[in-house]
Amino acid sequence: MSAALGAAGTILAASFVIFTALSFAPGDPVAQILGAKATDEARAAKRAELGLDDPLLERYWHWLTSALHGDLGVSLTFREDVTSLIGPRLETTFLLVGSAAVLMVTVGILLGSLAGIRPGWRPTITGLAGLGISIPTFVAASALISVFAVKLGWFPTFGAGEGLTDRIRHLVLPAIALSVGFGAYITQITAAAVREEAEKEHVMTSRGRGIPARQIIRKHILRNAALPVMTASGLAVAGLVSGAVVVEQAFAIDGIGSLLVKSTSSKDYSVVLAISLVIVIVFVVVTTIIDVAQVLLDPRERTPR
Amino acid sequence: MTSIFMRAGRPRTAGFAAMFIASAVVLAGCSGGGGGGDHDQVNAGDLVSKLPAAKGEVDVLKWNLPGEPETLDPANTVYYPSGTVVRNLCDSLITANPDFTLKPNLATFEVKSPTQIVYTINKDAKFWDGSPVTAEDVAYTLNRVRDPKYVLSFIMINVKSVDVTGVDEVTVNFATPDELFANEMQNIGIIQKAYTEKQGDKFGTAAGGVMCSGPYKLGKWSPGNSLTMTRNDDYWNKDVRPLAKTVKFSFIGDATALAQALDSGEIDGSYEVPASAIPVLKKSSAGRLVFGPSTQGVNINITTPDGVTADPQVRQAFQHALDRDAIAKVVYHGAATANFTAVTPATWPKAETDIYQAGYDEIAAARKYDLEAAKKLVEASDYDGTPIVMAVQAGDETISRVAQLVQQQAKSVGLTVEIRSLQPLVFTEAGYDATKRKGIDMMLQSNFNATADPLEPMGFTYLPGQPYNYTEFDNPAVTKLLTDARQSFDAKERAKMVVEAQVIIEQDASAIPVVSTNTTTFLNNRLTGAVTSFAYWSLASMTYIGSAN
Repeated sequence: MSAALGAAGTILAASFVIFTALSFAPGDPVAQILGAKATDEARAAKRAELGLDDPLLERYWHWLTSALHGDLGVSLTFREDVTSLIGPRLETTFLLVGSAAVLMVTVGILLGSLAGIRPGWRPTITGLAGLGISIPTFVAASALISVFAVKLGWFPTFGAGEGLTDRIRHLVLPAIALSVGFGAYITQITAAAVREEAEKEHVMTSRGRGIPARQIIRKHILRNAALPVMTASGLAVAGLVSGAVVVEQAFAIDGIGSLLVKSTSSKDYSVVLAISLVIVIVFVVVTTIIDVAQVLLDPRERTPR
Repeated sequence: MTSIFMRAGRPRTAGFAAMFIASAVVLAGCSGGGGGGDHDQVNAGDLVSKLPAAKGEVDVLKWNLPGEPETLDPANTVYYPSGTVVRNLCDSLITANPDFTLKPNLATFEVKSPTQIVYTINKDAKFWDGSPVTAEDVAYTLNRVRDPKYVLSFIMINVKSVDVTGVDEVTVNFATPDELFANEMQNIGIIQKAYTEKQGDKFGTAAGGVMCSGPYKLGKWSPGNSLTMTRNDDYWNKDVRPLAKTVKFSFIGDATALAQALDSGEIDGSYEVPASAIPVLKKSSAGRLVFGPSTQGVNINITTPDGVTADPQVRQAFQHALDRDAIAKVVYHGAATANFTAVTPATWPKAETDIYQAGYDEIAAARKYDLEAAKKLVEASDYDGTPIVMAVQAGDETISRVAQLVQQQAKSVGLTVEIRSLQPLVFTEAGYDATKRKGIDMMLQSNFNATADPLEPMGFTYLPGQPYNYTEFDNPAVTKLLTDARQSFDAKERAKMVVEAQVIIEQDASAIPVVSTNTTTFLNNRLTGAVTSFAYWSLASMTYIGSAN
């Protein structure tokens, strides 16, 4: 209950901050809507129609009450309901972030554990992870496109595709580009955590007592190492959402990231707010999931001190 | 905007700023050099308006737009994406040929008097749903655009009334004679009254669509993904036979992503290929890159009546200091040509080219690249080294490279230019609101005028009280010449008056012309027929493209 209240508070505060920041940013959205040739009267009429001259708090209140009724407003640029505007794009971005997250977590944890448990692999894997972290997302994107899409022609160079198989084919390269950086980060965190657990006294003792290695790894090392890895993964997933902006640009995928960029520069209030809220909600949900999962994994968290 | 003269960073929604961001080959603009021995110089004579006619049908034509259309409502189509789509969906009363000349389309017209034009609607014309295009629909469309809430309403400023005066007849009466109006009719697509009223606010959106009579019908528009048009097999105009059965538009704005998609053959073609994608696409074996004439250009406009740039010698010094050929070559890789008058040559009416050319040549010779002359002008002026603030639109890589070159070239003759980047929205505002131009001496702007009629841009700029008359230019002789020209229906006389006015205007030099930008088109080798001049934007461009074999 208190968690839900906290989340709602965060979302409310975030929406207000974004609304205020946007209204103080320079530029008049009417410049975009009516073009450079409109008369002053037409501009004034448009501003009045859109309520742009009303006091900030009044406008925010209007937006908030409509939003609570499920009405996110109409885009100033596209003259279309925000819901129908971001709906299909949200699907695209979630599919992209989702596949990147799966890739990032599985590969990251596998490689990280390997490096933690088998010291022989350690230099190679940490080296690769260091490289992965240092490659900017857009560089990874163009490298992937030029090799796998343009030279080899295995994957399409742009777009999100239609239908499930086509979509997956379109999202392979973007998902890899998006997951490289955070995947490498998770590899390093996992490697460090596993290594630390593997050197703990109780693990040594268990070994000495002849408990099978497989069991030690599963019950004593991985389970305990899971806590920091979990937290890092959660944050990384949330980070993928903002990273999607860059990848969507490079692969010309029209998701909410590229829409956010466009809408911010044209001061399309309702669209910017709706997308920002989606991102805030994703963050809140992910952190809540981490909290819950931690409780499940770590018995100490269950009893309040 | 359409024949709409517009000044902006670039005529597109501000969001397309992303267009130039990605592939940043920013060679800070070393003036002479350029790329390794590539022949980037493109002269006006090398420009192509149309590729050889297509030979056969194609099933799917995959075409890119520099962004998603923000609307398909013909009353608001003023940007590249929406214009390109709407011209293929909605017939206008008249339409353009690839060489910018005009021909009747939905209607023929007769100028009854300087204040009256009568349109006769083609009896065969039918909307996609089979119902006839009536005089009622035409009058409705035109009267609807008169509402100032529509971007194209300024076309109608001199109109007194639009009435149905016969079964197939619509009469337009003017409060003041308006030579421009008849030409502007290429920019307004005729829509069906019943459908438009039924859709209300949804008209022109992905949800509401449009009902028109054009050679293509609106298919599926998936916002954020693609827009499909299907061929109108019952098209009323039997002279037009579209060859592509389906046209699928993508919305790639990023220069690198676009170059890769075109190079791999995933997309068949695109207009408005960004300058930074040109070097890659020139080498492509998938298709060819074509430069065509365009009315568009880039000018440095003096934006204040006072300040350092009020000094005529400073203005003239800039004229001589700019190496326009180098800018065209280094920044645009052939997608631009040096230009010496505020009005670009492609804006001249074809039939009167000789009259205009003579006037142009004189002005060009008088302001040719000459550093010594520029230095002398600066020394003779009162210029004291105060930085001259030049505003550019942020996020437009091509424009920012032009700005850097201008800055360098000005410096070499003793003029200090300070570049100020403005966000797209702010930049647009500064274009029409003097209070937003405070502290700015000049703006590096693109002009976009699709109608081959110099009166349009000149009228908005050089008459007292006009929105783009930033320097408060007020010359009675020019005012008289331009006003008389707009009211004259004799093309030759008009051309003479315009050229005479141009001499006075260019002497004042409130605009420093830089380049005329060429329309840059990429087309896959399997296809041909495309219109490659900027007239593409004013006609049903997709109907020309078909198989090369």
